[in-house]
Amino acid sequence: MNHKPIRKTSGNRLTAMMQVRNEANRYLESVLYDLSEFVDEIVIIDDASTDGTFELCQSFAKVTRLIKLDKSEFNHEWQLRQRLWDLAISTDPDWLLAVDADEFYEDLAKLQMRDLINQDKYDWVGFRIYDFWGGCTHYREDDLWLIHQRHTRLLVRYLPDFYYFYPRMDQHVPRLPLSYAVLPGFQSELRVKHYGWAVSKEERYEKYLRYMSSDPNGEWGSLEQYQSILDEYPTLIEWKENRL
Amino acid sequence: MKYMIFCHNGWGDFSYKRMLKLLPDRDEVIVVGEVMKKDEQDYDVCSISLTNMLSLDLTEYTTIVCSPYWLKTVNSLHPRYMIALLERCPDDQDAEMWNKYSEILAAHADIVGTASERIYLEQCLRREGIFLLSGESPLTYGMVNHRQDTLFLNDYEMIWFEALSCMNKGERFEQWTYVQWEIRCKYYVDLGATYPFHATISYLAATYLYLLGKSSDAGMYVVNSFEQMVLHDYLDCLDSHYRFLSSMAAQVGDLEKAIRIYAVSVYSEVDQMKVIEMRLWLDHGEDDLVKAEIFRLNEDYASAIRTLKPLNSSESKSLLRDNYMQTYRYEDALRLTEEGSLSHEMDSEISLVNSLLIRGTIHMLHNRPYEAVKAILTATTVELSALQWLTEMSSYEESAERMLRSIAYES
Repeated sequence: MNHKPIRKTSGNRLTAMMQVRNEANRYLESVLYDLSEFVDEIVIIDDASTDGTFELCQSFAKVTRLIKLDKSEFNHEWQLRQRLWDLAISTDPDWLLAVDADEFYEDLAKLQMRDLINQDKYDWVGFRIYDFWGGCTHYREDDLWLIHQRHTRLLVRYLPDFYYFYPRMDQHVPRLPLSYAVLPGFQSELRVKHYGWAVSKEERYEKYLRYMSSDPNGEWGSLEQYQSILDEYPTLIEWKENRL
Repeated sequence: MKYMIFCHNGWGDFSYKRMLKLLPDRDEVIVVGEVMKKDEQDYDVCSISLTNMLSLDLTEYTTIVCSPYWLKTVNSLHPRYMIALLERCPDDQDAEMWNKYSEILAAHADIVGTASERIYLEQCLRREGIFLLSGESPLTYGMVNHRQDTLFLNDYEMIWFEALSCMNKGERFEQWTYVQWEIRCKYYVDLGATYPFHATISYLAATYLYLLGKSSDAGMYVVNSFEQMVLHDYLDCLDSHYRFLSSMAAQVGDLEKAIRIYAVSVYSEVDQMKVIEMRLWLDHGEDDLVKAEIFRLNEDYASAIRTLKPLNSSESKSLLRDNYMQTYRYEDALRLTEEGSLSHEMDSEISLVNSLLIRGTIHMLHNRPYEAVKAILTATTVELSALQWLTEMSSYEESAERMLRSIAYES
C-alpha cells in the first residue's frame, strides 16, 4: 500500500486552472506570464474562442493541458466548471489555483504561495478579490461591490479520494467544488486584483447587456447588481501595494 | 410467561401500554408501583408494591425495564430475561447520566426496544437485538387475540412480537432485525424518490442500506445527503457523512480505499498515527484488524465486534476489549482483560486500574456496594483520578434512590 501522507508538507506541485473565452486582446497574456512565475503547470479550457486565445495559450510552456470547445458552454457553467476540474485533476496535482483570465495575484501572495501549500493543517486558502474599476489604479467599494470584504476560496489541496461536486447552476457557479467548505481552510489577507471591470465605460455596458440577456430575471445573480454596473459615480478607492 | 414491568416514573408515564397486550405466551403481567383499577382491567395487569416485589423469585420473570435507574435492582434479582425499553432523557434528569446508564441497560438486556428512531439507529450500530417500536405503515401485518380483544398488528408490532417469541423459546431473533431494516430501508428509499433533495431522508436510506450490508447502493444516498448538507450550509458533516464512505468501503472489502477516505477526514497527530498503523496492518495482511478499526472509527461498534470476535491474536483481543468498553459490555471486557492475552499492554499498572474500575462498576450494577467501593478504592491507591468513579457511582445511586422512593411512596 502507498504510505505517502495524504497531505504533504514539502514538494507540493501547484497547478493553475482557467477557463477562457476571447481573451487574446485583454489581460490573458500578462496573466499567463504572471502565473508562469509561481505555478508548476497551467490547465486551460478555451470555451470556443473566435480570436487568437487558443494559440496564445499554446505559446506558454507551462500550459500542459489545453482543450478548445467547439461550442461555448458559458450558459451551462457548472458543466464547464466540471470539465475544467476533470482536466485539472488529470495532471495529478497537489494543489489547484483557480484563476480568471483577468486576475493578478499581488506580489506578496506570489511570494507566500509555497508556504501556503507546504503544510498539512488546512486544505484551502481564501483570498480577498478587489474589483478594479475603469482602470488599474482604483477598486470599487460600495453597497453591491464588497467582494474584497470577504474571502474567496481560490487555492485548494487536491485530495484524490475526497467527494467533489459543483452546484448544478447555469451561472455564477463557484470556481471550485463546493465540498471544500467542509474541510478546514485558511483565510489569508493576501489580495487578488481583478481587472474584469478595469475597462472602458462602453465595454462595461456591453458586459451589462450580456448579463441581462443571459439572466434577465435575476435567477442566478442580483438584478440590482447588474444595474449598478451602469452607475455614473461609483465609490472608488485607490489601490496601495503591500510592501514585501 | 410471567412479565414484570419497571416503569421510570410510574405507570402513568409508561408509553407502551398497548404493547402489553401483544406480549407472547402471556401468563401474568405485574407492574411495580400503583396502577389505576380501570387500567388493571383494560390492560389485564396487576400492580405490586416495591417491597412485595423484592420478596418474589424473579428468576421466573421476564422483566421490562424502562429506566436505567432500575438496573442494579433488577440485575440483583436475576430475572429470566431482561427487556430494555429505551427512552429519551426526561427533562428532569441529568442527560449525561441518563444516556450513559441507558447504554449500560441496553448492554445488559436480552432485547431492546425504543420508539425513538435516533436511539434505535445509534443502538443498531452498537449492539444486536435492537427493535424500533414505531413506524408509519398503515398496513396490517397480522393479528393477536388477547381475551376478547382482537388486535391488528402494524409492522413494528408484528416484528416485536415475533422477536419476543423467539427470545422466550431461547431461539435467535436476528432475522427480525433484518426484516425491520428492510422495511425501514424501503420506506426511506421510496420517500427519497419523492423528495430527492432531502438530506435527512437520503442519510437514513443510506444508513439502512449500510446496515443491510448493501454499501454499494448506500454510497449514492450518503453522497446525495452530503451534497444537500453543503448546499444548505450545514458544514459539520465531514465525519458524519463523508467518513461514512470509509465504513462502506470497508464493508465491501476495499480496505485501501477505506483507509484513504478515513485519512482525508482526519488532521490530528493521533488520528494520523492511526492511519499509519492501519496501513501497516494492511501490509502485513491483517485485513480484519483494519476493517474492524474502520468500523469502530465510524462508531459502528457492532460490526467491529462481529469482525474481531473470531480472531485470536492479542492485538485483535485488545481491539475487541476497546469495543466492549465503548459499548459498556463490562463483563466481556473484564473477561478479556483477565484472560491475560493482551500481551502488548504497555503498562501493567494501567491494566490493573482499568480492571479494578471495571470490576467495581460491575459490582455496583449488581447491587454489591461494598465490593464496588472496595475495588474502586484499591484502584485509587494506584491512580488517584479513579476517585471520580466513586463520585459518578454516588450520583447514580442518588438518582436511583430518588426514583425508588417515588415508586415506594406511590404504592
